[in-house]
Amino acid sequence: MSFDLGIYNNFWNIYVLFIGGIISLFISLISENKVLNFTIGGIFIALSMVITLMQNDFNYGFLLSTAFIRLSFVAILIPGILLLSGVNFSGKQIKWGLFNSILLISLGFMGLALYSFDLLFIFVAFEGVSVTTYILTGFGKSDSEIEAAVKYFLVGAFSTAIIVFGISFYYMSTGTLSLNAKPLLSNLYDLSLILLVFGFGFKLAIFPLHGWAIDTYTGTSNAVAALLSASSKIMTLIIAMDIFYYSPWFYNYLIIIFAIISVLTMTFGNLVAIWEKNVKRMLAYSSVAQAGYLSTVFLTFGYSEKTLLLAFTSIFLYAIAYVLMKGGAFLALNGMKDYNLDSFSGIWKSSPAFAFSFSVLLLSLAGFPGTAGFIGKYFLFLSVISTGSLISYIVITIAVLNSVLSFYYYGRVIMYMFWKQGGQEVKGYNIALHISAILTISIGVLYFFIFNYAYHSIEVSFNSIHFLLGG
Amino acid sequence: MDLGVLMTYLIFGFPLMLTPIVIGVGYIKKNYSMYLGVIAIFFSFLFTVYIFYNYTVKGIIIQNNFNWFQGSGIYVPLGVIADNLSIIMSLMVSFVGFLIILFSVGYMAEDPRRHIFFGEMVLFTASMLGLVLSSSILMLFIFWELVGLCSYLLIGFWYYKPNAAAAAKKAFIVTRVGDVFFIAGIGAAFYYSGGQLLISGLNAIPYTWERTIVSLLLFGGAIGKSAQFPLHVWIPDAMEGPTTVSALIHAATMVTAGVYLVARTYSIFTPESLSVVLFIGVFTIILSGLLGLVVNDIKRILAYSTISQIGYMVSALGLGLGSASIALSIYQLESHAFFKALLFLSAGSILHALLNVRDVNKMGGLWKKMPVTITSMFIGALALSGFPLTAGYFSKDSIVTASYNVNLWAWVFLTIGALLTSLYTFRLFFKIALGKPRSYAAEHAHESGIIMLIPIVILAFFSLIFGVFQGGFYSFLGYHPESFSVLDLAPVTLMLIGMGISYWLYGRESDIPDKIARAMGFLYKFVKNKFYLDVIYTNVIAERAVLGLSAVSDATERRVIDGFVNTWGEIVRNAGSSLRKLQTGIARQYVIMIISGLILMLLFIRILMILGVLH
Repeated sequence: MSFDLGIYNNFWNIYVLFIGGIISLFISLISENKVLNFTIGGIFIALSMVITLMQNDFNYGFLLSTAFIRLSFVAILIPGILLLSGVNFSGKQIKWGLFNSILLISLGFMGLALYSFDLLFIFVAFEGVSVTTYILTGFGKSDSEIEAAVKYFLVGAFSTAIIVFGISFYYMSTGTLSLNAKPLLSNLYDLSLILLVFGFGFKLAIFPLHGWAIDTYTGTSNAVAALLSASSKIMTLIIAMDIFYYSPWFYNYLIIIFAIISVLTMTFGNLVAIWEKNVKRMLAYSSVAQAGYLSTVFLTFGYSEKTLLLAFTSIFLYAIAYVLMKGGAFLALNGMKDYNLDSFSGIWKSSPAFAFSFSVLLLSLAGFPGTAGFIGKYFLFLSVISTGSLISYIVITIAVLNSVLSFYYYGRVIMYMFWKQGGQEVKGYNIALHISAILTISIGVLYFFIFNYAYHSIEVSFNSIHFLLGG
Repeated sequence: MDLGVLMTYLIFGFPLMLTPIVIGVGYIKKNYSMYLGVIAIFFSFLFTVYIFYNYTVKGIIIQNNFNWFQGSGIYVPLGVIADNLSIIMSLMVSFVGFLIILFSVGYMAEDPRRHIFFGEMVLFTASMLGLVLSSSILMLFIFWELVGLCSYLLIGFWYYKPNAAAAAKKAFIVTRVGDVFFIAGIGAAFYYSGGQLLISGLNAIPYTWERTIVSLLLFGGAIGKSAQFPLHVWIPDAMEGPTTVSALIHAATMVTAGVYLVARTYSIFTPESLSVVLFIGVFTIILSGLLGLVVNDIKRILAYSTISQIGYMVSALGLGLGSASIALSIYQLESHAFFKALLFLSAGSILHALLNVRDVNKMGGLWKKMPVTITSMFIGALALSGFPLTAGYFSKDSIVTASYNVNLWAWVFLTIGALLTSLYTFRLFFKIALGKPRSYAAEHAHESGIIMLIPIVILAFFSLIFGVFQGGFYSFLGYHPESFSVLDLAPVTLMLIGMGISYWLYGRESDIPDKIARAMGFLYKFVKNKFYLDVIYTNVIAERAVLGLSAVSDATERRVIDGFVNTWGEIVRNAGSSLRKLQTGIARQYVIMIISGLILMLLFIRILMILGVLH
């Protein structure tokens, strides 16, 4: 084979996604069969996962591959597969081939964004993700989906403007668009990074930027809500970690900013979720709260390498747990006629498997020991605590209190399912839900295999990054 | 991972993983879960045989530990060890467990919830195998609790019977008393040994008195699980569960766990704690032997005989002979597993035929009606009472003889124990097998199906010939006994005398037992009421002391803690209700929030810079 693409040879994991997207576009012209199209999609996503795991570290200036990025990419691809097995729309004539194609392209852009080491690259790939997810959000064409897509688009366009603003300031202050650049004008540099926090925080759905997320997650179809709240959120987090990790001149501000933002985000998400009677909307709020937990990782920046190593590993574990529990939970709602809390009552009687798996995912979201969610949260908080700074202790105390709070609204759904009288039945057999529940428990109990693997590969990568970047 | 290590994990991991599938398959077709359950345990047995082969032929001792709390700086080991002790135990547990679960296929064939029953049986056996193979005391404790949980579920399997539900609760609570000691023991061991949780690390405990404390606390846990005085009270009530559960509890899984725990941690037992162990063991033998003489429920007689046989194992350990003690005790454990499983399964077969009539006074003359079952039961009874050349003779008499050189009093009581054993065993057997049928059900009894008879016959065979393995067994566990001694004759003689008395009293029509009971009057009533131990536990300890304490904590809980929590709950709810007004659904407003957030953040940073906090 003489497909010699020079330095681009290493990106077959992203190419297969784009190729798969185009192939399924052609297939969609011939047949809109759901099973056929999604089998092809699943094969390409799985192929991409395998290639990703086989990759090595490299650095081409504007493209950087580390173990952390590769593992996160795998985590991001998981909802893709879950989603293909559990997608469902209320509309009648759905073009499944087209959906499949857009999904694959969207995942491809996510991968591209992760590997980028240059703000321009990141921006382009990020917009690629945005545009494709705008389409997916409104794919079912029902009123609520259109409304969700429009809101997403309007606020998204606004935050894109902030990102562009931030990038231009970044260029003015450093004279380059590459990350890891030493600032010449430090005030402008700080301003640009604050703007980037707000720009990227939009997809992460952190506190003042969360507004669209609630409405969009609630309005759109369950599958797309799973994609937005799992893949797209984790991708944004990884990009943000990438950008801010390589801007050490900003660490002082970064820690303060994210301490405030994460506390506000998790407290807001949990407090409002307590009042929410609509389970899908409750999951949307919980997704905001989870963004708060996730963004505590920025408090470890600038501390010892061991702390960072643990923090990055824990973010990977959290990402795996998060995509499973959030993706699975949103997809679980497929079987429900409406998402009111009351319609969940007594479901244990009619469909025990659904009730059991859904409870596992909810407990995992709350961080119950024995589930993957606990492992992710535990190690993340542990790594933040191990910095030893006063601010981290305060933030983690609040985070733990918030976790306790969250048991209330997750537990309420479980209580309705098992202890209330009611007669609703769940439609269909939800394989995505059961798979994610099984994986959640297995990772929660046998986490050390995955932890060891991630810890060692990230450690190796850490050392080689310093070599690659010459520092 | 090495194949042997993987196999060792699979011995308990395989049935553990299959448990939900066994139950789940039952929702499709109930019989599939029965077959799957049998297969699960059979595979455990095969894995164990492989490990056994590895050990004997290649001499590999498998040990594998890993840290459960990786990355957190604490060493909390979990892992497996497959040395001679755990291999011999898991061989027995998986083999006897397999036979019992095979028997259950016939016994539970008509129960509507049998898929759940088989799932729980598999989980029960799997947790016992895990307990036996654990190399870390923490993992041992986890499986220990799983065993307790399963016993609760299975004893109360027919939960709609009030007796069964109460018995399950009693078993759970009484063993929990022992577990408190066990937890305290783990804590003490962790503290004294400087953070060791591996069983092999317990030897790091430096001083004798510390070892005494730790070993006595661990023995407290063993007392609860192995039903020794004073925590034996749960076992007779536990007979309310299905008979196969009793067989599993008594032969393979639950009650042997305590003996195994003592044998496993034997190196830290000091002479002081061993004397306590010996005393408890001997006392239990006599106590339960007397109790076995006055009960009429076929299963309860067997239950008391279990307590007294476990007493022999505990006494053997209490003799303090090092590896000889372990070998004596474990050999008794295994031969007991065979004949006790045999006796329970025969009893199950009888109950199956007699529509669950359990009073021995209503049986009689069954030898002609159910020849295979009763003949097997006869072999079991011979083995239990220690008739020469059966399994019980080799295992029990060695203990009695070994005790002679250690403690004369122990020898005397252990020998008397042999008399009592044969008395209650043959009282049971003669009442069932000989004479005329004393009830309608007994007249119309008939032999059980082939699937139930196969395990019974296999077990009867092993009960007969298990003595052949005595020498090999002892040397496998590192004990080389002297040959036959005259002392062996004492228990045998007493046993034969007991058998004769039983025949004289119960083997034929007579009113002598009633006369004796009347003549003993007060004493008979005292024993019949189980020495009033249950009364003390329920009326004095539970109702006076524990209820008072729980009233206090209940009030604290309701007034103080609930009040505190509810107040905070209200505050949080109110905060939430005002915050949710931010979510208006108007996109314009979201943008305004973003902008104002950005401006506020910039202002805040600027203020911090002016204040000099940041620079």
